[in-house]
Amino acid sequence: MPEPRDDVILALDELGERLDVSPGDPVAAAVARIRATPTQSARDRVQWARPGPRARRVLLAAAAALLVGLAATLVAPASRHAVARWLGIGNVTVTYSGEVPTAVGRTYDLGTPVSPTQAAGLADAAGWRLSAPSAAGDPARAFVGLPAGAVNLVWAPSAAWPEIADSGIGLLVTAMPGTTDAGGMSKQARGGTTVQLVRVGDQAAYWIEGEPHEVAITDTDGDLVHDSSRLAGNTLIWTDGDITYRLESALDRDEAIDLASTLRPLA
Amino acid sequence: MDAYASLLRMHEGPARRLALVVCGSPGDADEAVQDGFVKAWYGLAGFRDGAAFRPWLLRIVANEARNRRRSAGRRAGYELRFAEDRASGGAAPSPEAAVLAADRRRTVGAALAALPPPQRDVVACRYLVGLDEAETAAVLGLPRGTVKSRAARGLARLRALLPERVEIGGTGDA
Repeated sequence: MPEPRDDVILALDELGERLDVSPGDPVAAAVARIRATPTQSARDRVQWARPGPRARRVLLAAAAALLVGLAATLVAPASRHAVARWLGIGNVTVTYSGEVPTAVGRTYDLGTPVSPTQAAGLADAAGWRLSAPSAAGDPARAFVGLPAGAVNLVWAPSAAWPEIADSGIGLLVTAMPGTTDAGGMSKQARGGTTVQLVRVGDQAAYWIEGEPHEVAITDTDGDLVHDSSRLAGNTLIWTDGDITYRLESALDRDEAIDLASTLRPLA
Repeated sequence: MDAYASLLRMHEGPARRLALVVCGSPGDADEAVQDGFVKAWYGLAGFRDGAAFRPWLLRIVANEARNRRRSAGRRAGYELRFAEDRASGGAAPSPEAAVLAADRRRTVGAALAALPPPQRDVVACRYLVGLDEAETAAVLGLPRGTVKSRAARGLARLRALLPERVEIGGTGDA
């Protein structure tokens, strides 16, 4: 039964709306304190997803860092903002760097660890439905918040999902609200890495395959930010409704597309 | 860490309002929120699978706020500050209406401050922070029946403390 709203309750409601908190930023202050005092739990959190020495050598041995993205001119105006949120860039080219960024292989921070159920709940709370490839079975773990607003779902290596570069991960699916428009994206191949326009169902998609690479992001200030959260496995990027998905794996293109085609809401 | 900051941003507003209404001191409230967010980070491993994040986080913040209130002791005042009326798409309130609205808020705020803290916490969580009965119970660590009874007693006491009719509206037509 709804609660009766008398004058006192309405006056309290108004009081709540007008509460004036201090101008401080406790989130930034708390994060700064946590960064300044790493503890075992924080180290554990990073340790789980950190690649072994061999993976670090593989990644450090990569002669080129691949900067992957979508040219802004290929993106419809309505979806440009979504793409910018997804990749953190507004104008991207496939280029190579002569140096190996120090971030490669250092850490793979996928975000805040939560259970897959919690991740689905957080997505629900944020107003979108989290899906995952049903053929992959239940994800082993989930992380939220990297990139901002995204959910990372992780499956352990298995015979079906070989380990990606000694990372301890078989499949990594990142889901994020926002869409890409792949129309007009052409095949680009340099140095053994290819970016292809493919389809997942009736949706355009990108397939990125080749040598281990790092996704680097040019932020709005023009600074290059190395996204060390990525495993640099073969990558499929596609959309389902308003959600952009990214699948990283050791699968080949057709296997990845088949897997992506089994996308279903996560129970 | 950026992910955790993003998560906190989603719940920052209610956390700050909660700390403020429990502490009754903006400075203490800020510290309580900050400490609560830090403790929550280190307690993430203990976050129960399937539980809702918001009540879990707010409970940590509420505990921090209550600890500060206890430390401050009986001499500590209880002071809430309120933003002034602003025009919201229409004309700004007249100076007279703004004065009346500010006076009304001070009156209700003073009545709230006069409540016993256990009742005030429940009333504030329910009506100033906007938590429902179940969330209030989770955040304050109380049975739902206790939340219900304290809210009823708190509201009854407020009605007794306030003038017979509290005019609301606050933008010039009250």
